[in-house]
Amino acid sequence: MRRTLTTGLRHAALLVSAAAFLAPVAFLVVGSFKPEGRILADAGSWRAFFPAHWTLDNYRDVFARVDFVRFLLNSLLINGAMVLSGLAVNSLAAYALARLRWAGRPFVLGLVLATLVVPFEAIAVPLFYGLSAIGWRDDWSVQVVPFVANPLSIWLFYVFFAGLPRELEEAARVDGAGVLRTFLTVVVPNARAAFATVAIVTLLFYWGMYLWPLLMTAGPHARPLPLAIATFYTLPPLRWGDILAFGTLMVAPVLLLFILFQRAFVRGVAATGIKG
Amino acid sequence: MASVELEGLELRYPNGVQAVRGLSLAVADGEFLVLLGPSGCGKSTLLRLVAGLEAPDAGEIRIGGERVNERPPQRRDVAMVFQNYALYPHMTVRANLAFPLRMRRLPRAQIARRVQDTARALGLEALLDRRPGELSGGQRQRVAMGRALVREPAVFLMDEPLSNLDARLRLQVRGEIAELQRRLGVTTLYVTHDQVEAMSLGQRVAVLRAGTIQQLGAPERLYERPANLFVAAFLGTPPMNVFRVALEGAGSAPVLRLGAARVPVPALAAAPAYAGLRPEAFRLAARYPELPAVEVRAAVVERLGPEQVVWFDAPAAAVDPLAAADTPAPRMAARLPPAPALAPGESLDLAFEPAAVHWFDAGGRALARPGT
Amino acid sequence: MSGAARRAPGARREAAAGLLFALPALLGLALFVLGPFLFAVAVSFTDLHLGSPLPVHFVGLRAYRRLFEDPVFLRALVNNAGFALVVVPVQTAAALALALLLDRPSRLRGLYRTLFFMPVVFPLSLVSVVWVLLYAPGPEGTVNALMHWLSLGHWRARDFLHDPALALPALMLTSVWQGLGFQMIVLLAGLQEIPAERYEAARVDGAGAWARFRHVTLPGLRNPLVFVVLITSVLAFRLFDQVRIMTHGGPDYATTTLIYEAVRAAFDRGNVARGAAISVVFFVVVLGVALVQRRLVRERRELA
Repeated sequence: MRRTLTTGLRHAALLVSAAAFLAPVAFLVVGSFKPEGRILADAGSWRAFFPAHWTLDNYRDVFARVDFVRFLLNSLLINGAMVLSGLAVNSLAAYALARLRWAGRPFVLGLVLATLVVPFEAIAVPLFYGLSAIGWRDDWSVQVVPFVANPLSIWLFYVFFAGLPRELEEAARVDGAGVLRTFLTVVVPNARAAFATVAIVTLLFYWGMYLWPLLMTAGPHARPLPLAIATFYTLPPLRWGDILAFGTLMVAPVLLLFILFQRAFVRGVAATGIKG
Repeated sequence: MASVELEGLELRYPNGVQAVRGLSLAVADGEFLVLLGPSGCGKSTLLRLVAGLEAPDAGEIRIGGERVNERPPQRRDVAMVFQNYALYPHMTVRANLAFPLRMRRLPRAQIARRVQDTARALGLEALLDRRPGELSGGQRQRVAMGRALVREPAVFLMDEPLSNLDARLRLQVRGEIAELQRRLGVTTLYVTHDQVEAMSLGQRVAVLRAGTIQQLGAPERLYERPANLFVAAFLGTPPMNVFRVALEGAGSAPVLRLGAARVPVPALAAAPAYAGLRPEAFRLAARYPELPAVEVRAAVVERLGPEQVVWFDAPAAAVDPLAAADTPAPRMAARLPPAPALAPGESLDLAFEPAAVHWFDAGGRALARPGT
Repeated sequence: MSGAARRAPGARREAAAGLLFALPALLGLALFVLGPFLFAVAVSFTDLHLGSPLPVHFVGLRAYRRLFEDPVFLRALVNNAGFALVVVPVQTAAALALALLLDRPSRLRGLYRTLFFMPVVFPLSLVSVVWVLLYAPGPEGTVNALMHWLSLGHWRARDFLHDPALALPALMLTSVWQGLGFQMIVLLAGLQEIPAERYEAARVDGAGAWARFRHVTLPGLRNPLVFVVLITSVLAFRLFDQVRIMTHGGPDYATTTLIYEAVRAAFDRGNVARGAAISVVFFVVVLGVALVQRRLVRERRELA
């Protein structure tokens, strides 16, 4: 009896929380298919979440008013380049720190640990001054290069590599592989989980970045989606339907990615929390 | 095929542990040499030095007469079987076997042929497309052996290759390794802490302690003529019974006293401080009335089938030579025929041949027995 | 592992490889993290003006003195601290509650986890824009309507984002909605690391539900909890996107923050020293939070 009661309460609590989490997302997606006039009018009732009249006008508007495809490509390019180069650069550094003997090792490990606690916001404004002074701004590379070397990624790789049995690499050395060969043929294939985690964590933390492109880009040509939605919102005339359509379009691919690789996302976040 | 020579090797780990001290050793071409010792004696380190996975602080390593100190592992032409096999988990058995050959950039056809030959020799043909995770412990061990064999290396290094197998399988694979090595005649260095493995496999055995070789020789020689107390006690189960030699009467010749038994000390190079008797040196006195005998009371009797081991309270100042200096050992052991069956608490007369006594000086070094 | 006497076989190659492998990351960290930080510290003690022909002088703590005499900056500090004081406990408690609700096998667990985590993949800028609409003034605004319904008709419609008393709380709610899932996942992972036998042992020892939570769950969750509190605190001081998009720091500086002020200084090209000094203050605050966390974790390890 008591058991059914607590189970019932538990389910009720979960249901209410889930509704609260889902509501703004539903509001966004449903609103994007509504005629402009209905959005504010329906916002205060259950109708906010159930469109009476479906329309694609808002989506047509988005593509007519701004170059959405360019923003999307900018985001893809920036995040793709950041993740791929980050995987290479940070895994190599972590391997050097975890396994190789070389003179600067303690210093670099110290640098990684020290920079691990520095949030990007502490760097953004001084870096903005510095890069402005040399005239490097307003392109996609300035949104990638400063983020390639990442202390959190190095740390996640480091913890993973340090936990791999050494024998495997020693066997490879005895079998005739050099340092780089050992890393590529023996370590990397056995570290797929770490690569997935780092890729996902990088994406999760950096794809929504707003402050940096706000500081570094001037016009729309290098503007990524998160900045683009904010500028689109301030672009007159204010049409909520268009804004919601823009928002739906920009999260759809990420949501799809998230739903497809849900387990990897969860594992990545858990790893950050437990090892971070 | 090649000989291996180690000369004056020294290795101290950064944590201060001296793993190898002033160690020299020559392994002949084609020889099967076993490094035997308790854990932490430096035997695995020695293997890793030969492989090139560690570097000595001093000394020289020669393979086939050439100095290899400066060569990384991949340029030493040695193959190694690791304790946990270290198979590449993401590769099939075939790819694992092919890996060392690929690293040597052999032509594809030749790689395929040698993998096939090795697989056939080891009975791995049916497993070639499986991954290590899908193999049993024995099969993995065989793949690890195969990966070392396929290269036809100059030297074969094995680091406790049987320790992860169950007792039955260990016996079987031990035989296979011995046969394989005899057939191929590859110079082999084999590390183990198991004396039975060492005695059954090694043409010669080196007993190590604290980074130095205690004794090097044929297995039966080590057993019959241990060079010091450590080797005497490390080989044999139960270990040799060791006790202090007492001096009897002022100015008179020293006498070995064991309970009521008296044995005059023979002419030795120096005055003995310790004496040792292997458990099998004892026999029931009733059948050997001419031998010195000692009366003891059985404390524990282990009936092992073909024999029984009787543990009795030491009738002399017995010591445990494997422990720190002069730790008293409360009990001694005797290995006796299974009949007549003895019971705990029973008292018995044990006789022993005076010639079976091993003599050691105060430093634990063996003293030659008269006539040898 | 180094030492003059000791030359590992291939040690020189290995040393070269180590440096080579680490070099790109080392350069990146030096140029884009360490460099700007040192630059900020150095510049904050000068009167550097970008584009000014005048020579640069060392002026000591002038920029900091001006900051701490500036009511807007002080307001930003207070706002950040207030944000942290509310959001850290609320968000942590809520995340823990959800994690506990989900910490038992159920067919729906995966679905719930997905729902709670979903907002985390949303960029904050998009979240801010959507919530501007949800906070629409007037009775037809979604949040207003919800409050009206919950209060059984007593709630008067308010303009959240232009109300000095409600603007900051409105930003808090938005931030909690977006970030809760992250903390929840971390805590849920922590809960699942606690071995079931420990609960069974407590049960056999006669512990009730509360005692099990108090003596098994909480101690077992110590490190994930400290981590969650740390990153939520740091997040509270990093607050920027929502402010910039939803309120522009207003009304009347009620929602301005450290980073918002730093960015304003950055766009005002003359004020390099101010931008640099705020960045340094921000860094010191974050470092303080991190040090407290380290201390907490270490003390626990000593006790254990």
